Amino acid sequence: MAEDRSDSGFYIGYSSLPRRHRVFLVVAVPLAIAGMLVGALGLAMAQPAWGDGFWETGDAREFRGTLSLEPYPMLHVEGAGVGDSYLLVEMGKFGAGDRFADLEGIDGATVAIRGRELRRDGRRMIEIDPGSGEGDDPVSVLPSDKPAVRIRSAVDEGGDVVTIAGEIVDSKCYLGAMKPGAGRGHKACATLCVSGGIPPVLVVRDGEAGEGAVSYLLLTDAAGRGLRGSGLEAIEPMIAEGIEVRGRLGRAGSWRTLRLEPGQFD
Amino acid sequence: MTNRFVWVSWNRHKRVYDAVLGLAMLAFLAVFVMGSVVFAENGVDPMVVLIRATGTLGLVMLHLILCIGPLSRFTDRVAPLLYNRRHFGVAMFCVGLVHAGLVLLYYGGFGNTDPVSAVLLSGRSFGSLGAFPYEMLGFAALVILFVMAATSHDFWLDLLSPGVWKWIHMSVYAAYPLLVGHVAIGVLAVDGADAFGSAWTWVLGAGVVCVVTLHLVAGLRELTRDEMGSTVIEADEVAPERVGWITVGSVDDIPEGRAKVVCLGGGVGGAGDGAKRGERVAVFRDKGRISAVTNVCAHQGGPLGEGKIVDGCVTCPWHGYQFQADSGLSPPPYTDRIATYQVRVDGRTVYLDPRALAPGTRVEPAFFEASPEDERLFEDVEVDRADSSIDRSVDLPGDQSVGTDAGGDAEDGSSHGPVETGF
Repeated sequence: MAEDRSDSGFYIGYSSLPRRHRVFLVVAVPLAIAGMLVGALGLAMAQPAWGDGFWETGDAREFRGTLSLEPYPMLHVEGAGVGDSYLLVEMGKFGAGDRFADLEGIDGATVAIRGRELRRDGRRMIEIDPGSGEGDDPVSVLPSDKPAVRIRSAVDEGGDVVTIAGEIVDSKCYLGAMKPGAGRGHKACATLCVSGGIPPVLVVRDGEAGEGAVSYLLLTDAAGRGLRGSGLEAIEPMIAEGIEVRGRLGRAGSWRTLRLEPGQFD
Repeated sequence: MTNRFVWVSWNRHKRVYDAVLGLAMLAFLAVFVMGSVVFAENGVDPMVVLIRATGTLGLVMLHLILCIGPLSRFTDRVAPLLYNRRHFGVAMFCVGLVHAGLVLLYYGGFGNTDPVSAVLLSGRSFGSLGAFPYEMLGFAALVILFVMAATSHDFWLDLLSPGVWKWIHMSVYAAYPLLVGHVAIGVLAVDGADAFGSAWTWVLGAGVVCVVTLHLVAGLRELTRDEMGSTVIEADEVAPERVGWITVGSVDDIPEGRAKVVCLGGGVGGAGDGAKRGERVAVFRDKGRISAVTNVCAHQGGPLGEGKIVDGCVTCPWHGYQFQADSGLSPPPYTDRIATYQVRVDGRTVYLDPRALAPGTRVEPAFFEASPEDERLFEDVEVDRADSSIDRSVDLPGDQSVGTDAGGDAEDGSSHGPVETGF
């Protein structure tokens, strides 16, 4: 009995496609692609929640309030509720400390700042608009009849040293610059941000710090000042990992703070 | 096969292959992105979605690429998928490169240090799963895939020699576990408890099981075949010159126009004097003639024994490279050559001298007396050849279709056969 021609074709790439190969390809390739697409949809749907961080888009707007530089640059805006203290950061992965470092009399002054808001769970931040060039300063000092009130450091609440479990994040990404702005996958970014001056925050997800489901604790040194130099380097390896830290609870504006006990990361 | 350089020796199959591949890749990315956007409650981070989409697509592509090889050991129906696998591989590398570029830009950029060290050095401990620098695994795999993609063109195949080239391209088996580790640690260790981690566990686990199982089964099958081997003649009073030769079997064991592959040393009595143990020889049967050549194609090491006689030439099942069965030479003007072996037929029993002759050495084929059944097979194969031989209407590169029956898919720039070399 003669061999079925359609079943004996030998595939050569530069030749015509034998029927048996064509039949196989017409069935198998669409099936494989369909399977891949279903898998893609399944994996996309299974992604964890992206978080409810918010980052304002569009034109920058003006915020007015009192500026303080310690522990980290903040703008205190009256009447804004829980989030009436806005952390201030620059564009990219940089804090705003350098902008104000050499400006005499800026600490405690009433200022207008042009920027875009980030917020999450009532915590707020302003990314200062970079300005359009020479002479376009996004920060301007406003005349005020009130005396400047300088906040030198986080206010100690006077409690004992507490041990709190959480994750150190960079406040900018966590509040909305990136989603997700936490976790091991975000570690490189968070470390860059913190080393660039973005205020580090301990996010406590089990309510240990007494503020409901999620607590935000700005990390400061034992004296309540912003972490810099060796103090900053000590926490950098711990960023984006689940850790326990010891410190004293305090407050800076509407932000709660944690004054880190010295030497615990040595 | 080619005799002048072109970047890509396109033909219709490659165009269709690449078009389908490209559309499938775009569809995958589109579905992942749309699925992320539509089902997110509070809005997504577009860059993170792209990072995840490209990473997922790259890994899926790598699994498919790795499965094509062993699948082709079970059925030649996947030969069209194997044919243009290099383009598949380079496309997969490009997807991985985009993934890595987005990671470097987004997570490592806009800061006070260089993005590469910011990302690669963010993990702090090889001893802790949660702090393991899994980014390094992905980077190492990307370097391997880059070397493979950069040397995938036949220019490098010619320059480096097929053996070195093949060795380089086998390093995909080093890249694969690195990428599995990259994903397993990067996704599962971090998000393992949630639905994303759980879904990835299933997908990655199924992929690894599939790749490993296919390779193991294909390998075992190959080993089993090799062990069947052949018998070395230790004494032959009738034909003493054949002592040291091996018995291949009956001509009836060899399908017309096809080959039986013999593994030297796989059977009784070792490989035979002067033979290379473990080497495979393809013994072809073609219209009453028996010829033997190495099983390894001079192009990319394809299994010639799974090929077919087309237009009188042994034709490789991978890329259609052709060699004359009696000389191991590619038909003019090609210059490739493969090793040949001496064969004899007594009655219907085939004997093989296991000592390889220099590539391109002409050997007189052994003839056997064709039975009526054989004659019928010849006719069937003739019909089949008319069906499967080179289609001159297809878009062959350059002057490939002029003056030769030998085609070929060479993508190198120099020596191979009638036409051009490319990719």
